[in-house]
Amino acid sequence: MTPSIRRNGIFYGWIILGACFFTLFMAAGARNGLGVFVVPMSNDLEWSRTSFSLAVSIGLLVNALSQPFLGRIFDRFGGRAVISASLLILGTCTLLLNYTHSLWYFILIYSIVMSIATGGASMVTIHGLLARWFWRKRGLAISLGTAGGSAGSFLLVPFANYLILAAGWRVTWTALGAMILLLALPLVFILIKDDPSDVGETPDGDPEPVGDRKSSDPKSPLSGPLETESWRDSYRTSPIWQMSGAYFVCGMTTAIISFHYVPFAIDRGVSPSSAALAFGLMTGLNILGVIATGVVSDRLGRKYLLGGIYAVRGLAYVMLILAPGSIGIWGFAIIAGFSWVASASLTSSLTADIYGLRNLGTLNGMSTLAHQMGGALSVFMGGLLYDLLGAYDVPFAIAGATLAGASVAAFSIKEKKYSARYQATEAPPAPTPLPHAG
Amino acid sequence: MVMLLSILAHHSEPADPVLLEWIIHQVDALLGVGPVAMVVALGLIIVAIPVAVMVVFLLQRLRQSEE
Repeated sequence: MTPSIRRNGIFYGWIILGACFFTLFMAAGARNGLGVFVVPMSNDLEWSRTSFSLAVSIGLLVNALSQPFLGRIFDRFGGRAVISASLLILGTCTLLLNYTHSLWYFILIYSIVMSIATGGASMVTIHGLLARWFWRKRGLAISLGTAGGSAGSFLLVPFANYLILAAGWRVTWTALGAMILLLALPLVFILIKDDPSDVGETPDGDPEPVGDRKSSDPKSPLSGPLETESWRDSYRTSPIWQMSGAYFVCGMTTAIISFHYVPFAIDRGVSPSSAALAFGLMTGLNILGVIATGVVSDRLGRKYLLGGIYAVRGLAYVMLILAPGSIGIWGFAIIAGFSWVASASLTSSLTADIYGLRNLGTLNGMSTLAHQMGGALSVFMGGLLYDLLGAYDVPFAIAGATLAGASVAAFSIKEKKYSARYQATEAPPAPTPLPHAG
Repeated sequence: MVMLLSILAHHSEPADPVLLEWIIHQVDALLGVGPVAMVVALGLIIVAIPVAVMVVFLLQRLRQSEE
């Protein structure tokens, strides 16, 4: 064990959190930035929007399917190796997009290689890493890290847009790739440590020593009550199904809105600019929502917040469908915006509390796969039912109704029985041999 | 098919190009500065994040070495 670098300074986990925040900032921002390349690349390369959509669809599928495997690799090799390698590939591929001349080149680089690499520097691995460093403040840390992705979209995407206007799309891909390789990669490689014990720390920086045990050690106090040797055995217990099922609904209810919200608003007589502004407001509010729920979840039961978030999102759907015109559109944006990404950090935190750290990457990857499958299903359903019925009310009502099930599933998780947080709180102190009187 | 590109950032998906274009127009109208100035301003904010993290780390190391 190396000596601790913390004596009077701050807990090293906060530095890890800073590196994780910027990793998601760059990875999510660079990937989400594709939207601003659509028009200039289509015009320059004479691609149709259908061609672009094909590349994006393949990328989403590859990204979703790769998550469990990347989570498994994270569990075996740790966060530093996986995130560093992913950023190296992601940065290199982003640079290579500068040389795009054919659709197949773009599909190979962006949709396949980059989509896999993005999964290695995603919430799956970042949440897994932060869960090792934080226990009492796990919800806060994971939420702050998650907010990095939202902040990346908020700042990096406009940055890319302006750079395209100033210097063209090829230079912009080069700049984004260089930023990943020169800013994010060194930060991760130099700063990230897989486990608090690597720098002589304990989770949360608590003074109580955990000994030389790694946080992922099954004998560690941080191990989950339902932790199993094989990740497959986790699926013999109910909480993982409850969380994954609810997360499937989360994917359904976020993706369908992402694709169909603005057209729905225009159908309701709201101007396109107001609809877009409401949609943008929803995006901004998710940063506040994810941080707020993180703070509160460390004080209250996580399942109550998770169930509450799904219930609130369901109410937002009711408002969207029943409230007239712009009231429904703006009401939905404000109410649903707070719940948009918060479900991700809460699901990861609760999974870590219940199943421990040993297979957390794999379990997070499986949950994310479920989430993305729900999203793909709902987008298809939304388009199909709109074509059949000429309105979005029915697909939105179906999506909203599933949130009731997600809320019930989350509320019914036996958190006090299965979460390490309550086990630790309620467990009797370690037995100490006492001298017998008399 | 354009809809396939308009996914809200939730799990690393592309942002809506129509929305982004609208936001750019609004910012341009509000600030009235050119793209180069915005690139520099946003670039400085972005670079400040890793620099700040690294500065905190180095200050920690410095404090450690002084003890």
